[in-house]
Amino acid sequence: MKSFDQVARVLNLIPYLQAHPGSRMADVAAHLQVSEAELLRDLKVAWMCGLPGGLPGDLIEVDMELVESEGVINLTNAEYLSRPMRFTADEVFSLRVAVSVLAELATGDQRQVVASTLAKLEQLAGENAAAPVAVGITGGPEAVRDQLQQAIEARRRVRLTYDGLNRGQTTRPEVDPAAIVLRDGVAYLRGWSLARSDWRTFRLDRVAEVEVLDEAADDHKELPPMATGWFDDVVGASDVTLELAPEAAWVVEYDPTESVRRTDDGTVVASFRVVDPQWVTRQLLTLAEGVRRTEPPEAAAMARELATEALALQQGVAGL
Amino acid sequence: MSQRKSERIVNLTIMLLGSRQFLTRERIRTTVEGYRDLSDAAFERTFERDKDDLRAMGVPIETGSHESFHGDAVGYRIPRSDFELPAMEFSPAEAAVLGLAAQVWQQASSAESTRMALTKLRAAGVDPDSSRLAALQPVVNAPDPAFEVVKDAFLAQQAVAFRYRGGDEVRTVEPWAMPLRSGAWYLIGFDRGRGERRTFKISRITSAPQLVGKPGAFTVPEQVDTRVAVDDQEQSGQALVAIRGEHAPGLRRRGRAVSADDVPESLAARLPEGFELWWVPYVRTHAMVQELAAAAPHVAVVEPDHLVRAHAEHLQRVLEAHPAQADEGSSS
Repeated sequence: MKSFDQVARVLNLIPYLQAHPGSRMADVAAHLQVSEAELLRDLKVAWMCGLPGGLPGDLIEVDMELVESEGVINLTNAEYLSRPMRFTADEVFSLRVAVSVLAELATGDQRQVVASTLAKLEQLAGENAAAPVAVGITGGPEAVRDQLQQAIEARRRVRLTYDGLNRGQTTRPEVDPAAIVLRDGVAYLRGWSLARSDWRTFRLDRVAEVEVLDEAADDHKELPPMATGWFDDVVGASDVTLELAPEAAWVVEYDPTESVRRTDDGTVVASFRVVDPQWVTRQLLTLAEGVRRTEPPEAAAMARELATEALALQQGVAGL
Repeated sequence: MSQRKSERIVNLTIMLLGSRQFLTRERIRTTVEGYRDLSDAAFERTFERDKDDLRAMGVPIETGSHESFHGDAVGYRIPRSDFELPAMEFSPAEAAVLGLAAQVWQQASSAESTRMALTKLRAAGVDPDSSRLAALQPVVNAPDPAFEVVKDAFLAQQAVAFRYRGGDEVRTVEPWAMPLRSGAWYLIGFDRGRGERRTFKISRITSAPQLVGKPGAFTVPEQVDTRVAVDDQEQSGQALVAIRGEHAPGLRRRGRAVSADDVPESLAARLPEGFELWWVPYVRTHAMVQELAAAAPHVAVVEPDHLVRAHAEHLQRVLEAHPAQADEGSSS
């Protein structure tokens, strides 16, 4: 433990305890996010501090007997430290980014609340809030987020009008919505899919419409933590390796990879765990010569078939 | 040891905070427990380190002189108004937003910073409770190794130097803004080598960034444009696209269906069964071509001509990049 951190904690603990007299150790530890052992050490530091002079009446008073017998803290004689310290530049920046993200997700009346919270934080931060903060997310239509949030709070079932990720076709799944999450700048709905009888994740910018149904949502087990990779929770995946030209190497920043190898000329060889073969097909169709080679080579068969068909279609429509 | 060091620095803070006048080193040394027993050299070293620690924590220590001081001696004090968090009322709904904000960060140092800021608000009597916003669970991350040093430079208004996109050239940048766009962090700033404003994607910084010069070495312009520039060299426009049924939802969603009555007969005759015409706006030809290709074989372009050509050429290049396997051909 750095004593640097302890000083910051003690300078915060002293005003906290004066604002919350008679607090229990466990509550204080939880609120200030320290262990009880750490809290006790911090209290002992505070107890040895006070006004210059070092006379008994100058020191901060802590009833240590009450702490040890009842787990209750009373700290007095420290009126000169009754306010917490100002935010540091890093604290202000981190908080403003976090609240700005919430501002991007908020709907209806929440928007005003989040905006006023941000304004008050910036006022509190003074010149530390001068640095610009800018956040943009892919959150889908506000009306969709609003309806989903209300359905989650009211525990109602919904029917989505949804553009499937890899199939490129509209579906209408019935879902018991659980939470709106944000990962890598994209907002998703996590919910129980009735058709699949399992938890599913839906990109909000692909939800065109939400119909809140009359039925109540079923009570499912607690929402499991979200998998870190997109495909972690799916079985039957196979590995496909793509050799990417430098101009297509950005793919590895957007899609979860199993391994990435960069060569001196800027070529990137990346392997992906692929659940839906259509994902590979989409990449090949989109990137064209940006993908130089696939392993196994058969992974390109579907893309070739579709491109051939699309070319014939294009020639027919263009009247060539 | 560390317990005693904490006591010493807290006592120093209280002493400097309580004083209207600047206090000399000598006065501080004789008063604060923990300095008294040190040799001259040890006191100088310890006192300097303690001041650095406090300043790093954001404690504003002022330096100044007083007419009673000997020669050019300086003294120290902490102005209470700069030290204390000002009073502020938050409604329960606003406090809930703060409580949720404290759970957003995944990147360790920023998560720690938001937690510390929240404990300060709690010490000021605010009671953040996020349970009423349980439907929202956003997460922000910053996995790029360069993020932390660039952020330090940005917050300290200090220049930062790094290599970019694998190039050999070292870019020295005065950071003006760090926008977060679609999950990716950017640095916008003044590129000293180029003599102008530039935008960098932080994940494409390819060397460990180094701080350059002193903090506060430049001033950020009053109004920084935090938009991340897209390639605007190409013209935007409207494309007339034939789409099969419910395919290509992304194109249909931002497009406008053409009523069957408005389709000229010559064109209607060329449309295969199940296709409808849509006007679809687009910004960049290249991005539009990729979107069209991803929807193969359920879309075809009618106009403009340059998009018709670009789409066909793109499909041709897909075929050239992935020639048929010998065994595939023989099996059919």
